[in-house]
Formats: sequence, structure tokens, C-alpha cells
Amino acid sequence: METIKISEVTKNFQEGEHVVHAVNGVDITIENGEFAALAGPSGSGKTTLLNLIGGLDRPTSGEISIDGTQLSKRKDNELTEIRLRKIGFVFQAYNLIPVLTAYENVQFVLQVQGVPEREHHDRIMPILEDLGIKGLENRFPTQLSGGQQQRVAVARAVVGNPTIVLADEPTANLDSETSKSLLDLMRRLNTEKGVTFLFSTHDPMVIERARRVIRLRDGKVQADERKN
Amino acid sequence: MIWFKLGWRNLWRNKRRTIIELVSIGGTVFLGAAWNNLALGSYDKMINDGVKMGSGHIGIYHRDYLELRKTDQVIETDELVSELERDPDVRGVYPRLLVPGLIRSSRDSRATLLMGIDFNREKGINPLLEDKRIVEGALPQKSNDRQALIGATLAHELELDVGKKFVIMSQGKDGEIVSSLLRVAGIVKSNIREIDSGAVLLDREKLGEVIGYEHSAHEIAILLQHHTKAKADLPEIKVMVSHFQNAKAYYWEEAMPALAASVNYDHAALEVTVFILYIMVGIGTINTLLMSVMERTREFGVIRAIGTSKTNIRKMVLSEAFVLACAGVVIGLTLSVLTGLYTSTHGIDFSSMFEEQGMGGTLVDPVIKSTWDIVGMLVLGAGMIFVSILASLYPVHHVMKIHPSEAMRIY
Repeated sequence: METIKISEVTKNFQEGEHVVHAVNGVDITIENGEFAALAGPSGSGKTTLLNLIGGLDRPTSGEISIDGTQLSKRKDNELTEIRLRKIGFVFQAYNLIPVLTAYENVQFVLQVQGVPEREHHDRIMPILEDLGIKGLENRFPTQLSGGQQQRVAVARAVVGNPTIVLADEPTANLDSETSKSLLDLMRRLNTEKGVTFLFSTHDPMVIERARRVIRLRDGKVQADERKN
Repeated sequence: MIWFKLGWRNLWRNKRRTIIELVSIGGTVFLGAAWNNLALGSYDKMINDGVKMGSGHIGIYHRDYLELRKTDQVIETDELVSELERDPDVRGVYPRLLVPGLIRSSRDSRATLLMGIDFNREKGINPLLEDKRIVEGALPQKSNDRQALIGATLAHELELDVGKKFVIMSQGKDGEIVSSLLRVAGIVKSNIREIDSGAVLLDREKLGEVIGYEHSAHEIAILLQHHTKAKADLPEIKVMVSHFQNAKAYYWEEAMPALAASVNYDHAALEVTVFILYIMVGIGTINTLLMSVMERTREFGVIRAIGTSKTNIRKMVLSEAFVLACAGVVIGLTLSVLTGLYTSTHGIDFSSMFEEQGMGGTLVDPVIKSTWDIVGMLVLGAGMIFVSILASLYPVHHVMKIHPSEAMRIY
């Protein structure tokens, strides 16, 4: 079943007198349950494409659909609602809310989704346990290591039961051991819970573990490799 | 609840800035509330003294007297006073004759206001008759006596001492000049210029006898058990008074417009000052919140990215303004209550800055005791919260313009 369908998507930026084609006619389909990576060097358009899929930017042309919902025709508030219900984000710099504890950071999504308070604990704690950060729930981000913060970020991304988790360079700030551990956790969520992941990365470890690698160069798909 | 929690915690990310803003908000609310309570306390005292010396809470006059102030515009007193005294809300009734005239001593003569009062009735009530104001001699003891009190400045100018004789002259009922020889019983120093330099206080029966208006008064001052009942009781007293020829009842503000105007003017000046202070605090709050949200542009981008609606972002910033204002208001009101506990009992002595003085026909005491204007305090608190929320609208507008993908590129 198609989770994301990207059809002929381009994204141009004006830089002075020049037009930069950050994404240039990309066609990709991501199926439900995939563990895929957008790989490529800096400037290849990975993050731009991820932002377009996440509804954070609008394409110059082309169409992106998530679960059959076309993003280009949606107003800002509708895109916000789609991000809230269908997409989980994991960022390179973790981007947790510094004044909230680990538990509250995860809970924030449920609160914004309007999930009744009485359900929060039962939904959050198993995820924290799965991600190996149970016992750290009352710590603030500054009291957590980078790897722990990124796990909280993953928990925040998956707690709302999104259609897909978009992870922008999730291991870029982590050492290799922590990266490996985090990737294992995300893979487990993928296989056991069926969460679909799409990474943007140039980390060989992520590329190695991804079940599908879409290589981008100069805003175009250079290769699309699936692993058995 | 999450928005208030976030708002409160975000405030403490920059403790110094928040403390400065809390001092600003709390200090303004404290100043506003404490100042208002002190001002109302001083107005209460001024009005209380003013109505005792003047019209009472409700004053009864000849229907044209307040406009023309003619000597023949008197009202019959005996039956009216008796009837008023039967009203349970009435604490005291004080009929007075107020006649322009001339006072002459062996040394000189001056224009004067002859005030015919019932000394025994007014003693203990009228601030002019307080022991501390009788700087020489004593109150006249007997009714219909030829004894009188005169203002200190007048006594000095006419070289009159206690026991000395003087003559008062005025126009009698039949239009002829009348006069009477009186003796100084005491000298009064009220600090009201009109009294000290121009008043002669004598027995009302005696003055009535001299000018030919016995059992009459130009003014009947009614003091009620509580001043707050004045407006409510006025219609009933008006009806009662309407049965007496030419008599009409007035609320003290109508009878003593100068006093009412000075109180209203002073309070208006206070309100304007507090309003200006609130605007300044509002500008400070805009600055604090704007700085706070601008420092968190990336964070707002992330929060928007994970699906927080603009409505919720708005709630987030408004909550920050709200909790900031609430904390400041709690601090300000707590300080004003603590201060009020002292100033309502001991007062603040401003005698080093000014002496007791007359204003609007009453006395301004240099020791000002505050009162408790609970409604005023709550209005000041709510007003500050409103100002802070208003001040947050520009920072909210700024946050609304943040585009998530652009904001997340800011480090």
C-alpha cells in the first residue's frame, strides 16, 4: 500500500539572480512499512525533499500525496493537521523542547492531538521502555546525552501513531555506537510495530541498515536500490 | 494546562529578564493599589470632615439658597429637625445659620461670616470644635449666650483676645441693619483660610434673635449612620422634606461642589498617572515577550513542524504573557495588602512635607490612612493582566510569521 507518492516534484530557490533547482523532477513511491533512506552528498536535495514530504515547504511543481491526501491543494492549517496526524519528525539536532521533561516532550504531541490525558501514560511508557529510556522520563533535555535525547525525539515522533516518520540526518550528531543503537531501535519499531521510516542521510551506517536506498544527486534520483 | 506550564517554564529561561519584568508589573500594581487605597483613605477623611463641617451626607436648604445664598432664604427648623431625628438611619441633625456680616473691635473691622450653630449638638462631631483647634479659651457653654468663637487670623487682625468684646453687624429680617455685642469665648485655628480669617461662630438661637430668624436655619446638615447609605436614603428624605415649605434635600456632592470637584479631580489625576504607568509596563512587556520569542525562533519552527497549530502557538505565547502578568499581579497585590495592613491603621505621616490645610472647604490631614478598595485592587490586577495580554499581541504576530522550515535553519 502506498504511503507516500511523489510525482514529478521540483523545488526551485531563487538565490540572487540564479535559480537553484534543489529538487528536480523526482518520482518516488514509499510503501507502508518501508525503512528507506534518501542518500546523497550535501546539496543533493535530501533535506529539501524531506521538507516537501513533511509539508514544511511547498513544491514549485509536481504533487506529493500521503495516504492518498494531496499536499499541494492543502491550506497551511490543513498541512499542520496532516503533520500532526500522519507524520513524525526526527531532527538532526534532536530539537526537544528544553523546558519540558523527556516524558512531557513525548506527551506534548498527544496533548496537541487532543488525546485524553488518562491515555497518555499508557501510550508513552511502553514507547520509552522500547527505546530504552524508561527511568529518564523526568529528566530535562539538558540532563540527557545526545543519544538519549534522540531516543526521546524518536519517541515523540512515533507516539502519535503517524503514517511515516521522517528523520533528517538522525545520526549526524551521534557517535557510532550510539548511532548503531538508535538505528537498531528504529529498525525494531519498523519490524515489530510496522512504523514506516524515511531518512535523509549521508551516514554509511544508516545507508547500510536501510532496506531501500534512494540516491540523490543535484536534486534528481540517481539510483533506487532495494535490499532483500 | 500544557500552555500555562510551558509559559511559566519559558519565563524562567531568562531569570534576570523575568525578574525585572515581574518587578515592573508587581511594582506598578503595588503602586497603583497602595496609592489608590491611600488616596481613597484621604478622600474619605476629607469628605468625612467636610460633611461634618458642611452639608452633612445630605444637606437641607431653602430651594434657592445654594444658588443665591440670600439671608432670607431660611427654612423652619423645629418640626423638620424632630422628624429627621426619628429616622433610624440618621446619626445627627445640625441646623445652622450662615449670615454675611461685619465684625468690629475697638481696633478695626472686617467682613465676616456669622455661623450660628448649636454648640452642644455639634461638639464632638464638627471638626472645627475639636479641642486641638481651640487654641485659646473654650467653647461657649450656655445656649443663647453672647459668647462666640472667632478665627485665629481674624482675632489677631482685630487684636481680640479671650474675654474681649466685639460687635457684629448684619442685615435683619426687615432689611434694617442689626448689631449685637458679643464676647470672645475662644479662638479657633482650623487651617481653613476662610474660617480662620473670616468666621465668627456663635449660638444659633442668639444669631437668629439678632437677625430676626429664630427657629430657622440656612443649612440643616444630616449625618447618616453610614455614608454609603446617603444616595439610597436621599429619595426618602427628599419626600419627607418636600412637606416643609421651600425646603429641599441635596446629596453632599451637590451641596459642596468644590469638595466633590477637588476629590474627583485628584482621583482623575491618579487614574491618568496609573494609566500612563500601565502603558509603560505594557511596552516593557512587549519587549520582554518579543525578546523571549525571538530567541526561540528555531524552537517555534520545530513546534510548528511537529503539527502544532497556529491557534495553539497563539495560546502558548498568550499563556506566557498571562502567567507573567498573574505572577506580577500576585506580587503587587500581596505587597499592597501588607502595606495596607500598616497604612490603614497607622497611616503615613506627610507632615514633614505639608501641614494640615484646607482644600475644597475641608481639611487635608497630613497623616493619611489608607482604606481598602478591594474592587479597585481587583480592577488594577485585572487591568494589568489585560494590558499584558494586549502587549503580547505583537510578539504573537511575530511568531505567526515564523515558517517552520526556515526557522529550523536558524541556530
